[in-house]
Amino acid sequence: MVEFEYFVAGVLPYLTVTVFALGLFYKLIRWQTSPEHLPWELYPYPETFGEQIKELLKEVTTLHSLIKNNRRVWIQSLLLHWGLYILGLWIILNLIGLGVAYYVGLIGATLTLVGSITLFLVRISNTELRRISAFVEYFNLTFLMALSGSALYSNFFRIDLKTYLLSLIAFKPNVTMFTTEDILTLLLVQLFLIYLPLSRLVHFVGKYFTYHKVKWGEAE
Amino acid sequence: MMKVFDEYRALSDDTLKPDQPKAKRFIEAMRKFLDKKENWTFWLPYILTLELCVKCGTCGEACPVYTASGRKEIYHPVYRSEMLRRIWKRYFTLSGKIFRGLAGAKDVTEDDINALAEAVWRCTVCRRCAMVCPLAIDNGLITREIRKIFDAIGIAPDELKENGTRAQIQYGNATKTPTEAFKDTLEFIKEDIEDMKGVSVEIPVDKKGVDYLVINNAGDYIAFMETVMGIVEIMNYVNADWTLNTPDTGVNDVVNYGLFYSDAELVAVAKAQLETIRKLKPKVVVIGECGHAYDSFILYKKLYKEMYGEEMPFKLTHIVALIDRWIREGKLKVDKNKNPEPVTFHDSCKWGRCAGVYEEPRRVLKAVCKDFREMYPNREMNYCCGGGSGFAIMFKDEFLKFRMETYGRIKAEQIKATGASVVATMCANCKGQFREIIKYFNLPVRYAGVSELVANALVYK
Repeated sequence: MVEFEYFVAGVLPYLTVTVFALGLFYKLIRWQTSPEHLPWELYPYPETFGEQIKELLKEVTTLHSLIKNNRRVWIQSLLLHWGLYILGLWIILNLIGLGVAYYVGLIGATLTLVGSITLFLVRISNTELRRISAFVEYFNLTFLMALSGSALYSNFFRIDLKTYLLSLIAFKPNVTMFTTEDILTLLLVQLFLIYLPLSRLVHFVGKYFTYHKVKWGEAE
Repeated sequence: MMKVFDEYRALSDDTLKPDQPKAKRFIEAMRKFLDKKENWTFWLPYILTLELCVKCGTCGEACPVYTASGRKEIYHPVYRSEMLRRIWKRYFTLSGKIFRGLAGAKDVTEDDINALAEAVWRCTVCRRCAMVCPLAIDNGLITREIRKIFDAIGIAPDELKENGTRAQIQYGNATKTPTEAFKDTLEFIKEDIEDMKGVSVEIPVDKKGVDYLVINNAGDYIAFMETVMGIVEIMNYVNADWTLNTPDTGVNDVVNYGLFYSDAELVAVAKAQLETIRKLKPKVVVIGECGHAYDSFILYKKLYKEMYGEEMPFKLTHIVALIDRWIREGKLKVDKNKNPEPVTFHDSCKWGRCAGVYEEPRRVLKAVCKDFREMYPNREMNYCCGGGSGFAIMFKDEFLKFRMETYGRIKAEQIKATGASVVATMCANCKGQFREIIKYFNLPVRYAGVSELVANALVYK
């Protein structure tokens, strides 16, 4: 068990970072180096850089297109996405060393958990959504549920991320700071990061290409 | 014809050959289109759509076929894209090869391929689904990519290939009209305008170096003559330096059905059209009332550079933009009382969502019609009429019924709600579909080209 915990907290992170970075890099390079395709914009679209940024922020923060066109999944999706944004914020606040980070982490994980559960429920209960859903849709949501649930259960947001990351950078991983419950969360976090660039969840960066390179054409 | 997908058939048995194996060839052709270089034209949007869909179902809510069919599963945009995505996962991704069904992959069967070949002809690629997608991915594009794969293994509707792009390249137009017959038609148009309006008009042909080379959909000269007559009258009214062209110069048909199903055909037709234009050396090429043609010519800007290594030496515009400008400049004097009946406007998908032409036709119609009424929803959210992708000329088996009971039913309701007695549109495919919608639903309306309404409102001293 000790060996397993050491593997998860002391060895796997190097693999995780490598796979995550290479996977994401591969996707980005693959899309970025695509040949200039024929124009395939949809009109009207925001034409200036400023207009595009404004539209992008509106979509990212409110999931505006779902409000307009598919309200049945809007609030659930919004909870899930804001949960993930706040978890990102937790990382920053934790690294800075602010005490409030702990509560930010709790809020982020709670929203992610509620969002993924409610999205799972709407997907399985709505006939139309159920018809177009396959195993992988449920798997992704279950993964997010397990991840956020485990983090809350293990009280993961109390950990000192900065100390841990510095120990990894120094190749002297501090594995003693984790409880057995933390190890499960840490494992799930890393599996998620490995899975992310290989899955459709990579839409968080792919969306830049679908909007900026296809639907909107090039900014002025 | 045997059932392969639903109760309709867009492809004949001769074309589809449902009893013959084709799955292997399909997968090989598919491999080619997954290659960046081979499929440079649309690789990025294609790959992004294959990789990123999270199946939120937003596209289904926007799809006229899915909603009008009573939400039949097989007509959901995701269902159609998944038919291809399962094959892609199974044969072209590591996760699909290892995890198979768990990763959404499936071993393909001959029945799957036959069904897919038909399924892609239940979508007009109107791209309303792409307009609303939160991830901006495009199930319409997937439909077109699948058609490309099928065309590469010799399966394409004969209306669009043998009698479409191939005929256009061979005869100069998809209607196979030779020069003499074309000139006779122009003579008839000239006499008709002179008889009906009491004005004398000239219809120049094959003139080189003119200001405006007007190229119409060749089908307009047969099916929608009033539109052509309107254009002729308008060009004469402003005393423009203009010309039409005959098949003697190459291609005198502005359509490019390749846009619907094949990049190879798109480029072949484009090349023939551009060669013709290069010979005639006009300052401006004016696209007649044909939505997909204008959309194709937008693509030609890049294709021209690929073909000739330089920018297009002519400007591109369309007839309604010219009319709009000439009305605003006072060159076209119009009296809206000459069109007193209520008129509504149908935004063609190709002119609207795909090309951004929303305001010019509205300004023109408001100037020439006494009672202009909007149809709702409109502009980028307008519903496709069901004539797009060449559906307007596809009648096999019960295919007309499919067009009417899906797209057609929604459009008929939209038209009724306006209370208009004239539906104006600037697309030949839409006009073809409206002709059938009006008959099928027994609507007390007529359809008209924008140019026709403008010509009717012209004021002669």
